[in-house]
Amino acid sequence: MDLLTAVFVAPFLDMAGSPVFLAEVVIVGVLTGVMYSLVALGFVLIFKASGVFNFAQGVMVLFAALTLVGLMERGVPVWLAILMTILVMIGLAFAIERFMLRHLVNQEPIILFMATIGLAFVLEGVGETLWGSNVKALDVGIPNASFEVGGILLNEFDLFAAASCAVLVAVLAVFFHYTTIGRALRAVADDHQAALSVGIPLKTIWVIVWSVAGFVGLVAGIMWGARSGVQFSLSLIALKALPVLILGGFTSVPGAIVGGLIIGVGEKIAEIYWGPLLGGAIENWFAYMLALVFLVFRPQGLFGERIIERV
Amino acid sequence: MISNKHIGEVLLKLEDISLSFGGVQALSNVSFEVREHEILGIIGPNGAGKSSMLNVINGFYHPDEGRITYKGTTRKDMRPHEAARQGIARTFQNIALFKGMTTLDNIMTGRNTKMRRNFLWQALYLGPARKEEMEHREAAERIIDFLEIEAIRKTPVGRLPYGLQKRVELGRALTAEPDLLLLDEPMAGMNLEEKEDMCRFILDVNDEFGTTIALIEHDMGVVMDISDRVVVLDYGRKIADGSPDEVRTNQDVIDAYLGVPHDIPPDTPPDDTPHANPQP
Amino acid sequence: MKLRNLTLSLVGLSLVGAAAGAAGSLVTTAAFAQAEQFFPMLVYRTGPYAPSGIPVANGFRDYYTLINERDGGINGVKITFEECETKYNTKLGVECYEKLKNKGPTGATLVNPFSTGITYQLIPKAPVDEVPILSMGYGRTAAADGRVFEWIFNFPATYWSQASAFVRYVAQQEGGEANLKGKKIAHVYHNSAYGKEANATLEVLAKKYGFELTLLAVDHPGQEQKSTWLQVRRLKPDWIFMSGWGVMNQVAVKEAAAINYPMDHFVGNWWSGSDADVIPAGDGSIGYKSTAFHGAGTGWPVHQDIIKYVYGGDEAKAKENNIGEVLYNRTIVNAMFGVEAVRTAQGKFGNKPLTGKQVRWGLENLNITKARLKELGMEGFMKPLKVTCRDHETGGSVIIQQWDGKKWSFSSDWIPPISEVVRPMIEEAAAAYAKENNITPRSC
Repeated sequence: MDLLTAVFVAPFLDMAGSPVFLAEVVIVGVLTGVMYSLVALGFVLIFKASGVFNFAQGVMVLFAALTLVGLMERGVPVWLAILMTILVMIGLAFAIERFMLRHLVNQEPIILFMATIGLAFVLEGVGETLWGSNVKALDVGIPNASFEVGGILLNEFDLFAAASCAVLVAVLAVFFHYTTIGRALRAVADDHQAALSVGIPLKTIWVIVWSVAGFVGLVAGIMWGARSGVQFSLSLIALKALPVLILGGFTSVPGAIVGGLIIGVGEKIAEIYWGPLLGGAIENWFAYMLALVFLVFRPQGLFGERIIERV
Repeated sequence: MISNKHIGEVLLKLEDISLSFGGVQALSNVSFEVREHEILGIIGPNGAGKSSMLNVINGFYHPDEGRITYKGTTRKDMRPHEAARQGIARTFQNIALFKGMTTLDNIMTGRNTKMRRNFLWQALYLGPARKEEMEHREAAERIIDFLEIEAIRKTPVGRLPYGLQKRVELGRALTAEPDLLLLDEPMAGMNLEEKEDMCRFILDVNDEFGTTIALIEHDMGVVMDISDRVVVLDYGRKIADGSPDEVRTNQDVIDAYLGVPHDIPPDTPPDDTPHANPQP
Repeated sequence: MKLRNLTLSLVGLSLVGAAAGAAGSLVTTAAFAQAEQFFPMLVYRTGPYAPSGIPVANGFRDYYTLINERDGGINGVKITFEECETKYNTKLGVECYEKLKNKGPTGATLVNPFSTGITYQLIPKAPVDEVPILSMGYGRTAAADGRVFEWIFNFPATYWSQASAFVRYVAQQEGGEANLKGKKIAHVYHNSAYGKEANATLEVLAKKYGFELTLLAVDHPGQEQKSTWLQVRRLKPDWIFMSGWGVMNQVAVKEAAAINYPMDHFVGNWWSGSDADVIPAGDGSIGYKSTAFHGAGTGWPVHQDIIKYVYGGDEAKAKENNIGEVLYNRTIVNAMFGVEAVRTAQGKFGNKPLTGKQVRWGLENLNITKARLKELGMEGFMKPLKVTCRDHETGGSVIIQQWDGKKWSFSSDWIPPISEVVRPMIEEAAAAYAKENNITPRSC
């Protein structure tokens, strides 16, 4: 009985008892969720265009951030360093197409997946060799002061990060749904051979999509790297994107966003109100559990495209 | 529209095409021509190399030997997206549509080769690119009207019945306004009524747009009815080439093909692997 | 001169090797096959914990090189060493140990696993292979009881002593033990065996002194800690103690600053107080404290000797190799313990390469006096200590260091642990281990 009260009554009384704090938890959850969406987005882009789960996405985030910090450490001004990093990521996209994807056209997705595992190790090695393994502070001049509004503590950096992610996500959503190139990307994702037959240049599409994924990786790298410093662990934020992907579907940009928000808010509320019951640190597995529960009801994800196979 | 039904110059010329997979010889020294505005039927028993032939023409397969002359330019092989740009469009034996996308979006991808603005413009979706998009949209709508598929415009094609999917696939190929249209068993798996519709569309396309068509079909009756000329393949070799009447009476053909029962079930497995690795 | 060049080039090579991600290994001064004492080095220059692993590896390497270059070895016995890359992975660590344990004319001198996970795996192997383990300030706390853990040493302090010293420090700051009553203390910990080590001690002390303890776990790797810090914001603890590691530290410091938590009431343990932990947070980390058992910076003669003998006077190069950073300095201490243990053992067994068994004796009879520290160029760098058969932890005192935005400096005196609570807990845990593993404790 006590247990039932602790699980089903006490947390809600707690929420009702301090609505301001609950509001803060929700806001923090939303802001965090947007950051998850940002990471998930990189996966979605590549999955959409090549039907492959890019194991190297996390490492691409790391690699972009490392390059940016490395350039800044050598005295390059921030804006130029960002520009140069974007160029590096585009160059990387060309290299990936030239040396990896081109040779794997129309192979099974699992083969492409394996190739991205290889890519992750290569990028890791190259990144470490070029820029070293030390933790590097990343300061691109985003303000970081905290201020209180009606008892809710907000942080300028978190707000800025969320706003940039929101803009980026909106642009990408439009890009995918309303432009010719977006359609071409979806076509390639659907059927390589058919895409070729209508004259979609696979190479160009892949270069574009990996470049965009690299750019999204850079933004994610800046936002996450500014918190923790740029270091190897940055690649592990990919783990935070997985439940978002399961929830949102691998092919849906809006899914990545809404999925990120649900996971962000859900795990914060779970951790704060139910975490103490279970000894804390429940949010990581809770995120997966939440995603799996959704999966049972919507196997294609929140906004995933429903495909009815002819049986 | 005026009728364009007069056979013109040679559009595509294939000379001594040979193709093998591992040790299997799919095509040996096949030569034939496709002339402007004609409907060419390519027939042959299972495994005769018909689909391979189409794949060579649009560049999915690269022949080991031979020359391909298209629109006056001779080359060793084609590249798929280049072929598309040069006006070669095609359909597939087992439908290769973008299943997650709507009918309209599928058909719009057919306009890909007609896009003038570069990718950056399109990415930005600015004025000129937007205007262009509208033009393409109109072209796509014309094809949708032509194929009588207005009702399913916004339906994801994965949910459509088989016959309609085939029609959408034809629509996608047509939207590219091709000079040469390759149809790989356009009537496979269809019932009689659907077949009749499809025949009508093929003839109308040829008639109204003057599109040159090369088609593979199992249904002998259909091929003989709609083709201006027929090429017969057997074991990767060409054994006959002429008007339907000539072919019908050719003894080699009778022996090789007409001799065997041809009421092959529609869902026959493909005669070669259509999804083997193409070379982009 | 020639030898130093060789060493330096080998050092350079090993850097390149490590950077390339190779689990490469190099043996220095292989020419002196006879009078050689072999030190295995389990390092992690790559992987998620490389930011901590690199200064650690460099510290060992530099100190051993210093002994060879400046003193010509330990009483004429040259030190050889070989790195093996563990990536902080327990399985790889055990493989490295197996690979290195029989190298050199007398086998491995002693092993410094530099990972609690690896230490746990090696504890049962140590008596069998006769290779002593020095897990300096990490590993199994109960190993402080030398009667049960003959081959394991964890001086100069354990996690439990450290946690109790933290509580004593808070009492000092609050004006006496009586004032602990009703205070709120939060423990933010890495949700792993390591992070949980301090919990039991803190719980016992909370009961004893009447402070309110909240345990806040952070899952690996700890890049996202918003909920932890929301809880802190609601709880408003008077003090926070943190057992973090890797990226968790940097994020925690940054988040604490973001909620305007008073940084001088936020104290990390000695694995949460390195330079890399505070730099990413920028000015936000000013005032943050951590425990330590040695100094930070290059203000001791031993550092000047390293710059002179290892880096040929090139201070910039030494800085690139992390000299003076907290973890670098920690391994200077660790390497010194190993070298001095050999020296102590040589006093009994003679100036020749020694076996692990002989070095174990050296460790157990190690006596680093104040005078000896001065000779070593480490006066004031750390506390003197004396190991005994019974006590493998020695004093267990810690000192609080504080970050001022540029460097760490001591902000307290040496703080002894609350031994009357901690020592019985250690002996109890050791006795339980002995019973479980059928070990008859030595009497001493």
